[in-house]
Amino acid sequence: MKFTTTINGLAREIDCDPGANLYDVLRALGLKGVKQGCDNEGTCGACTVLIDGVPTLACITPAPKVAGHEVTTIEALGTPDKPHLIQREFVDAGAIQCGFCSPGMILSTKALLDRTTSPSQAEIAEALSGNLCRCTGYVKIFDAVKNAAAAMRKEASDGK
Amino acid sequence: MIRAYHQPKRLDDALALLKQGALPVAGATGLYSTRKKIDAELCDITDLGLGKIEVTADAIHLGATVTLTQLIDADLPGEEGAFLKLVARHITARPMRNAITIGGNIAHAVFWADMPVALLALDASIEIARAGEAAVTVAIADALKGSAPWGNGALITKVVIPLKKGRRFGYERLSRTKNDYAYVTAAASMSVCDGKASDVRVVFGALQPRAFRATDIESDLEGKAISAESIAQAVQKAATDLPIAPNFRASVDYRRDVATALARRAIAQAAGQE
Repeated sequence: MKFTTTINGLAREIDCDPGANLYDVLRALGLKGVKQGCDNEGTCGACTVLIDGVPTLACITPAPKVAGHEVTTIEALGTPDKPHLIQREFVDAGAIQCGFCSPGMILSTKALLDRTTSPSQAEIAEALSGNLCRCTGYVKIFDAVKNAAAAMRKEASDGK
Repeated sequence: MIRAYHQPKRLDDALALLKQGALPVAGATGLYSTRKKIDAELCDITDLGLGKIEVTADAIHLGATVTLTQLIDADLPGEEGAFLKLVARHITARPMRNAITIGGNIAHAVFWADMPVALLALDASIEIARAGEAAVTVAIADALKGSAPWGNGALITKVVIPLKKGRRFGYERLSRTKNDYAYVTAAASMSVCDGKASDVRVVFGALQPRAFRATDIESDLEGKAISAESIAQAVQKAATDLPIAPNFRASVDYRRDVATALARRAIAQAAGQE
């Protein structure tokens, strides 16, 4: 089946099997930042993308659901030379080890910080509740989110 | 094999597709782990305008495609509202809750589902629509017994939660991690007036394929003064006959012990004793 959607700001025409999930469609477009950890169960969060800004698990989302909506993957955030502020803070805080969970973690963080730049510990825990990390033990990830929030508040107050 | 994916914008169009054999899909969180068994066209029901929450003087009306995140973020009245939000917060994690719908959590009918447990304690009813027929309202307690009133062309369109003054709730669940499926869920509700309990509901989840009310315990407590002793007695009396289906998650004996402990706690909470 065919439908149109917006992926990372670009209008795309998708032609896929009606049973395809969003994960397979994004990977086929070369967007390899979306990962799969739990085999279509929705338990690991490695495939998290944003649909209209809302964290969504690509591996259990029927691809046609994004018709007419906006999909954001990690590829839209920054580049190795010019990382997004959240990516920079994840690196600086040491919140990245193997990196497999990082795209999902960072997109969940973005959705949180787009809502509030002063999240409480509980709000951070809720926002990241669907993203498993098997390396870090989460402390550094919480640090990174708090540092990113502080950096965003500073940017806002500096009037950038 | 998923043969087609329909995305109708009108309820009538969706019902016509369901009548022709299409299967309804909303949040789709259970679709891909079971898709190899599916050979059908799918009808996505999330664009039908069924995602609204309305509050009237005597009820909370939830469209079938209201998500758990919507519930958690909504301003809901009464003990009923607080109870619904509490239960929703216990179901998996944020991105799943962004997708899971109230109707889907009933109709998908996995045995560990938490929302049917809550809806039984709430005395909720569901509205069922079918092509060419007037919508019917079914008490959730009836809907979860026997053959389901949804499926075969029938769609849950709405969940109605009555608001009753003075009703209190209790909720307990045991799982390996907070996000995991429950080994056992227990919920209770009652009104206490002049020290006596009325409209007692005691509900178990994850013991049987569907959540059910423990009517023996309910009738033991109904109209009586509630104390820690009376709660323990009523639960203990029912414990040996509690129907528990074996499953791969934990032994029947273990789940029986857990179920009685959780029921005692949930009832005590509803009675305002904890």
